Amino acid sequence: MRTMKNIFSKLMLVAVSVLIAGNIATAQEKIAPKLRLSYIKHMSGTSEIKARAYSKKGKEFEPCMGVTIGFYKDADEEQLYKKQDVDHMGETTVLLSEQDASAFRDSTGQYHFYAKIEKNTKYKSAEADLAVMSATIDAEFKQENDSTKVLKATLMVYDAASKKMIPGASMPLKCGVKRALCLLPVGKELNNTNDQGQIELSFPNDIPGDKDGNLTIVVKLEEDDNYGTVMFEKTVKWGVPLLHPDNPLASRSLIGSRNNAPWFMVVVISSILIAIWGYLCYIVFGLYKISKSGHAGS
Amino acid sequence: MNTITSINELTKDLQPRKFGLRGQLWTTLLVLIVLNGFVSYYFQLKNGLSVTDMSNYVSWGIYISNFVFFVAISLVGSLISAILKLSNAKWSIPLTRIAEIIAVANIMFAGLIIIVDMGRPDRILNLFMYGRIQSPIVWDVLVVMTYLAISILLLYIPLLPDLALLRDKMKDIPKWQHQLYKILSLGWTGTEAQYKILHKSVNGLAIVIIPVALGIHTVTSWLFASTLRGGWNSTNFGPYFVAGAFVVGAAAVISLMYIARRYYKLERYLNEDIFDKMGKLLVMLSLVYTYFTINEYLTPAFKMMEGERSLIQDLFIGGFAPMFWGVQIFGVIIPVFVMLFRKGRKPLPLFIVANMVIVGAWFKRYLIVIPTLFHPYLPAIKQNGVPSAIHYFPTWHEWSITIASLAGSMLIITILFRYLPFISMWEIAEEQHIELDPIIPAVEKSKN
Amino acid sequence: MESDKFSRKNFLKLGAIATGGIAALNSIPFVLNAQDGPVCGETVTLLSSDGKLVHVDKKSLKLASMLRAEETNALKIRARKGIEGRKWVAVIDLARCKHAMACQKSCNKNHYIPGDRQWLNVYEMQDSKETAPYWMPKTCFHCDRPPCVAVCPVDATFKREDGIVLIDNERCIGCRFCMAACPYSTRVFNWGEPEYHKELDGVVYDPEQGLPRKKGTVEKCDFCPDMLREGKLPHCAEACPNGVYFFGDLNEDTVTNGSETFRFSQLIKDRAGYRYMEEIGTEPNVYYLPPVNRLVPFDETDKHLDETDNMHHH
Repeated sequence: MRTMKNIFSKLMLVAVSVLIAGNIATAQEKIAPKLRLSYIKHMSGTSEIKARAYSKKGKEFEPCMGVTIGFYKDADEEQLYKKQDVDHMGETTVLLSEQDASAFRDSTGQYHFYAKIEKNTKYKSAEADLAVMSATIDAEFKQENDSTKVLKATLMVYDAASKKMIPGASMPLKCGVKRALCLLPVGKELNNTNDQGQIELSFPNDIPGDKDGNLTIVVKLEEDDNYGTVMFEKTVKWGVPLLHPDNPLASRSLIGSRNNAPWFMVVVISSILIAIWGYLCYIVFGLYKISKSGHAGS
Repeated sequence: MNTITSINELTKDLQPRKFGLRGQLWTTLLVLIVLNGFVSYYFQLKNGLSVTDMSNYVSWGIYISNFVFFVAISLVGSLISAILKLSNAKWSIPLTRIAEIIAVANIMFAGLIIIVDMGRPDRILNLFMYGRIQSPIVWDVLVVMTYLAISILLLYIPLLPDLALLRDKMKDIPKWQHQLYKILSLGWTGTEAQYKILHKSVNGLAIVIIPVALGIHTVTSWLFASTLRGGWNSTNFGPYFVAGAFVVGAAAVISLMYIARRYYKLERYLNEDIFDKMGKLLVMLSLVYTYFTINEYLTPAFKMMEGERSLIQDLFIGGFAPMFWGVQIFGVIIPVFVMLFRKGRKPLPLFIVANMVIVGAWFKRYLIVIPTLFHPYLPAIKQNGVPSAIHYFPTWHEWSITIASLAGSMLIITILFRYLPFISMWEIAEEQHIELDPIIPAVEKSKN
Repeated sequence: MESDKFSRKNFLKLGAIATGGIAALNSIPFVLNAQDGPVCGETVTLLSSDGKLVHVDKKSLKLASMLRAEETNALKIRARKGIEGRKWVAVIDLARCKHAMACQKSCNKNHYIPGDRQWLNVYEMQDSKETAPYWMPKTCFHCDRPPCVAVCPVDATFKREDGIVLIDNERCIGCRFCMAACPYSTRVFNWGEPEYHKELDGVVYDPEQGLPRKKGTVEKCDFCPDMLREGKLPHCAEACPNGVYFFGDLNEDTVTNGSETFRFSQLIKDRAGYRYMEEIGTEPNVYYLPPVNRLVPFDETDKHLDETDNMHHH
């Protein structure tokens, strides 16, 4: 029933848009965009739906700029959840608390997200939808003695049949340390879970952390067809403390700012200037004396 | 100096005179050239430095080389009025003022032309608001300002008795001119106390100007030597620049004193003996300079290190070779050869070779600044020669502004010549033991 | 529509300022106070400078945008300080470069670089007649002993805590001493009036983008600090189809080209990384991996795109 309605409304939409397009075509050709949805679940609680709108120009992808994305709870796009503008990368992200997310969950335990590019002057409309099941990752950090650090992560997935969380067996997990621009992989590129949905990795001892030796370790299931992205993140003191971060501005130097000139330079140049200009002032004072005596005389 | 008997005769010889037709034409010509420069500068302000042929590789052009030229020529003030004075070379007394006039006019234009080179002249105050003492440009700004101040004082203070003389002796002049002399002479009456201050000041300044003068040209050389570029990366640059500066400065003095002698009939004051001595001095300076030149090029050419090799080849046998050898031959070798002979040091031949030296010196500055920028480390030049992206030939705007600046400095010299005695009258009088008394007013006399 | 690109970008920055993501916030207490006042209830989600998504009340943003001068000031203070705790470094793999020039193209596009200059060049190199030629992409080296910074008379170009050498085009006096001092011909100049771009209309100048351009001032490759702040790779690295460019934080000993990630020290050790012209003592923050075991042979006919390098500003 639902799908029938869906198809029908889509057909209507196509018909209407053909009509509209026919009218507009003479004025301005609209660009046909694509919309892509992805789902990221953070184990800390929130999850994100990320929408990316782009168009293909020749071989390259160009972000759609200045469009609004509407996020809906249903395929008919009647129950609006939120509208958001995209950024300069053509992206926008909706943050969902656990409670918010449950509104998208159907009776089978699946989360359904629908989105479309709202009406605008430059781009044609585009729609996307995404269905994911719930999954969780948990990890243990064991430091057995001073040198051996073991990371044990467990993936649990929602099983629709039993309506229970069961171990996610033989699924690829990524593990790494969070870095400025990327994830520094630990272990293999992908680590397949065993029958208990677990992976076990020995963690290297020489990874630089912050000044306290903190590392943010990430275990994630990435862009899975059924579960989307699931991310576990935890900060542990498993890194090498960064004791003396290199600060080129710390000392007075030739490359320092004007307030950080080397002392000898400041002292030498100032004393030369004060000495010479002091003397020149004395000379000018002499001129003043000449002028005074001259006028007094005449 | 043969027999000048009275202060009146001295004043009559040396007081400023109205220009004849030739002088007026000359002044008009200079004014026109300067105005033309202003027009070009207006377009440069409007359109930016894109009116020049400078580019991202050759990022400094003739504005900078001309700046170096101005700084160089201004150095003569310290040579004549300080070094020769302190070494008690009495023959140079008639040249002191000419030298100081050259110094003031040229250092002023050094300051101006460097503003012309700035991409944002409207932000010149940033130098004072945000100046970084670590930067050689800031050192240069400080030392140029200091040198300008000292040069003005060194020109002005010894002028006081002369200005008083003009005030008292020149009768047939417009009122404003008389008033000007009156104000500028600061009520000079020639008392012992005034002379004491004058002598003390001039002697003191003569000492102070020597390190400052060496400083101004050495710091200017550091604008180049403090960079990591072939041809500039030299420890020889400071003394090399100073030596070259003395050469062109001395040549400028010769050139000017010839013109003064010729058109003001001053054979009595600027006699052949002074020309002879200046010729000898110029030979000596040129030889010192040649020594530095050889020092500057021989060792890099012997080693041919990467980064210098292509530059040396370009200068010696490449595109810059005609200019390079032209400068050496016509700007140094031929002049020195001519001046080695007594006849070569007669006024006219000396005047001619001095001008050759000046022109050579201008192109020498071009050769210091521009060819190095043709040979950066990157793009690495694997083929012999210069990548096509690197090129430079000054545009009309650059030429007209540069020529205007040269004309401007000549205009200032001309104006100063028009209104000031360009040979120090009172110093000649002192030297010749002529009574200066008449300038002391009667009131003062009666007091004594 | 296009103009949204930059207003959005600035919007993000405003968000960063308003939410106190940066040290510069002290200079705009008004904006912060505004947050304490009545709120209009409508919030926007922004990316703060530490990479977190935050909700900001729209009203405080409006107030912030009224204070453009303060914003500029805050951007400048932020630009001078750098990204805290970072020490940016690049590794360029010469073995992979085959002169595709996507890096330069993307750089030019994203920085609105006109045709008379390049922030990024790919040079054809051959150290001597008998040695093998190779392509050498060259960004600014962001030296630890930058000769350009040493000579700047007005602090217009400066070294930041995070290693980046940046330019404040509103401070620069256009003396071009830094261009003469740079031994790598990295710096370029705005010789004339900058090209007009509709997208840059009304955009607040930010030294971290060097936009909008300023006539008569110097500019150069800036390692895209605006991208790094967002945890993204600079445009050249993002665009390179061959994974030539690696960027990262030296403090974290990690570099990435987007698809591969390495321990920096390990990569330099394994691949015999080096810095260009070490002997002149500028201590660059860009490392090269020698052009060994190349997958694609050097082909001079690949040289097709950098003619722009030879273009002159006339």
